[in-house]
Amino acid sequence: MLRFMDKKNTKEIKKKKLWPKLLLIMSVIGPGIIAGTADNDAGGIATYAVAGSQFGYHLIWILFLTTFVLAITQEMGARLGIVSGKGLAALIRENFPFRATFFIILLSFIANWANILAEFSGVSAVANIYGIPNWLFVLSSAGLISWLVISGNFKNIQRIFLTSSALYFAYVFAGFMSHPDWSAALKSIVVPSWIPTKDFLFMAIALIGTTVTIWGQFFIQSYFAEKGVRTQDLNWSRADVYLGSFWTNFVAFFIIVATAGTLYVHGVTITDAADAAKALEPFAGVLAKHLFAWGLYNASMLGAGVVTISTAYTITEAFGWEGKVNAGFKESSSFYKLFLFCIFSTALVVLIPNFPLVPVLVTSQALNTFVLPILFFFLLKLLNRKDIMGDNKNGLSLNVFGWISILILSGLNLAYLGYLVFNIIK
Amino acid sequence: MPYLSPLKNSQVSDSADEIVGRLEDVLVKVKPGEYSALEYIVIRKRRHKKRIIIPYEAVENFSREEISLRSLYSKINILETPPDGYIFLNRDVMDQQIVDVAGARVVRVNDLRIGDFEGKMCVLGIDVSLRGLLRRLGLTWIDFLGLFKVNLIDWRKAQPVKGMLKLDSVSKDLTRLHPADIANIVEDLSLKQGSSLVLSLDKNMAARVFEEIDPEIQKILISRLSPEHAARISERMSIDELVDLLQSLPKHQSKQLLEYVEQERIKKVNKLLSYEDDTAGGLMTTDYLSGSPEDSVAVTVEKIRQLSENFRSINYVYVLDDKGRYKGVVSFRTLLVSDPLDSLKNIMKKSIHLTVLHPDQSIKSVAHLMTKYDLNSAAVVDQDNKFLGVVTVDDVMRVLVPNA
Repeated sequence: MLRFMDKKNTKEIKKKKLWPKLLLIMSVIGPGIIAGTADNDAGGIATYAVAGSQFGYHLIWILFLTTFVLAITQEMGARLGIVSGKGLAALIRENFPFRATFFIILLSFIANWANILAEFSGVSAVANIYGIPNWLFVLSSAGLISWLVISGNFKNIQRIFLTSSALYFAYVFAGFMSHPDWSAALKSIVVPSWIPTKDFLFMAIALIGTTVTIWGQFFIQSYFAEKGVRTQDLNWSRADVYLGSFWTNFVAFFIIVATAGTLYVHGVTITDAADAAKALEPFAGVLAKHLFAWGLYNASMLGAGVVTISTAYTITEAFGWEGKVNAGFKESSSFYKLFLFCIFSTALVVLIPNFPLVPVLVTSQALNTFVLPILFFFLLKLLNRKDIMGDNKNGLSLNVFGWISILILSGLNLAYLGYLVFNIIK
Repeated sequence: MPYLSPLKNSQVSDSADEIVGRLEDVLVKVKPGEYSALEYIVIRKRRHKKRIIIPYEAVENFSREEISLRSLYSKINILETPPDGYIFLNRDVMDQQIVDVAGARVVRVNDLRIGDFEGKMCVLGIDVSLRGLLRRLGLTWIDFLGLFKVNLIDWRKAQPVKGMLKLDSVSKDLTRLHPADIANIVEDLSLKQGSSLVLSLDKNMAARVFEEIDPEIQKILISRLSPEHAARISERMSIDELVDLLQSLPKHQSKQLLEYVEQERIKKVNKLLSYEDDTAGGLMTTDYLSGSPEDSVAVTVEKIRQLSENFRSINYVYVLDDKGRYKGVVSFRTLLVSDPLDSLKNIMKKSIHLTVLHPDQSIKSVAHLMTKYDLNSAAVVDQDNKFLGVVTVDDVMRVLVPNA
């Protein structure tokens, strides 16, 4: 016997491709906000928490800087997507030598994969905080994400997404509950300070690398391209992207403040986000601990979903497998295979006992910051092509900002590499 | 087997072994249903930014080992600017998307297979396989076990996308596909390319393709088209599909679209809009053929002839009295075998013996009735037996099997 459904529901189920389905959810919230929210994923929260506990308010000015870098690069991606109607991976493939495409996609894949690994390490950390068996929690979380994305039950995803966005306010509360020194915190936004150590430099790189991401760059462009935003709505998308960039760093600010106001002041050092949640308890109360832990779980899950979708989409787009999404049933398509591969390979790796998680994550963030300047180089090249961008080509000032971003990132990378080499020689 | 990718950037020398430059691109003309002969080659001169274009007749060898010219470079006719109407294989086809017409899908070109056809060097096929990608990377040796098979698409069955989805340059093979297949292709393409493909089709086809497109993409596409184009498509869409589209659009957009719709259709649209989505009323179409009981078979057949353009999957003529009440139905088969002078009332199946639907009946019960009585279509009437519209089995199927 056939099952009957009402027409409204079936219309939603009818989608053959995943992307349009996602658009449906996100038609409520702008893509910039989504990217911005998912930016504060497990890796991000851990980095902010550790940064606050190690260096107090000293690194906050970096957030101020990254807000601009993020806003500028995301705006360029959005504009490129809107005007060309194509994703970044497709444009790189079509306009640069294939070897270059392969190289950048491969590096992006590795960095993204490690990023997803970080998300599941976040899930695992939450399991540890609450004493739930690791394998059970990580695998069921991986199953939950896969089910949500593949079954495509959009009402649920939308609800979950909205709830989880709201959950980020948990960090804002956690920030307030830690009773920080507000005047010092606010002052540090605009007054740069520098501690000339390797750790400080590394933390600065990590802060940028966790906010300005490879997957985010691909995500924002594909999103705008597929959403069919018209060129005359460029201003709207600009506003959305700027708001998203602000939001991501706004949350980051409160996480740093939360750990700076408590752990740093009392000289407690931590190495990951789970430590942060536990360590917060004596200073900021048990509620802060729970807020932190659930915020972390939420961020990990959201990040795992969005980063994995972006990764699978990028690869199918670059290698021309997207056309096969329609062939046969969903599970057989490259997109879903890649999606499931990324989710379950990372979930399983996280469960390997004594896996050197921290070095892998550190390397992944370094890789991210290493690949970014190359990606931005491609981005700038494309944005200056009259045949692609028409009248919406990059202006001089944007090009200058773009090159400055590339230089800052490359400079930081080189400085860090210099430190490493110097240490090895020593 | 020769492919184009290994030849790119190979040295080109003339008959005196003097190096002219490196091969940058090849120009071909795309003609529907034919392998395209290589007609010009583009050479990037040494230590020059300048590119020169040489007719392919001047080429002696064109292989991985050697690309050489028949005569001395100085004696060759050189073009400075590319001639019109040609496409660049490396720039416009390689790494771009193409429509695989036979497979009704969009794929990315990994490499191009070239070879001799009727004495001419032609593009024969498009490599879309993983092996093609390995070849591009110079890593074919990885596949020493031969696990990756080359997957070629016949050049004649492919439609380049870049700059080629315009009127008259879209291949006939493509426009001959089933609307549902073209719709699949449109969904696979980027919005820009998808909309130019829709616009390259003739009015009727465009409307039928549009109806088959995923509603969510429909919504985005229509907002990208100019109002005139949108109107051109909506004009030929069937009423029930148009209503579905209008319902999914934001208010100002559906209003804008309605401005272009004829008054008579607007009336029908508004009527349909008043029914709930998941009822017989929401499901039905008001595009149907009707006749009066006194009409003769000959007159009715002539009517069908004239109107068949505007009606598609309709196999019945509904017989209504002068107050629009449902009297009966005549199938096309009955019309065909009846005496041309007979009137409809004598050959029709009377409505009192037929299953009719009411506008507020749920989809579930509609499907139930239609399955039970093996109906291809059923009439929808109000409580006074006034004829409202027709629900066809494909409307129901689409709701029941939405993923097809």
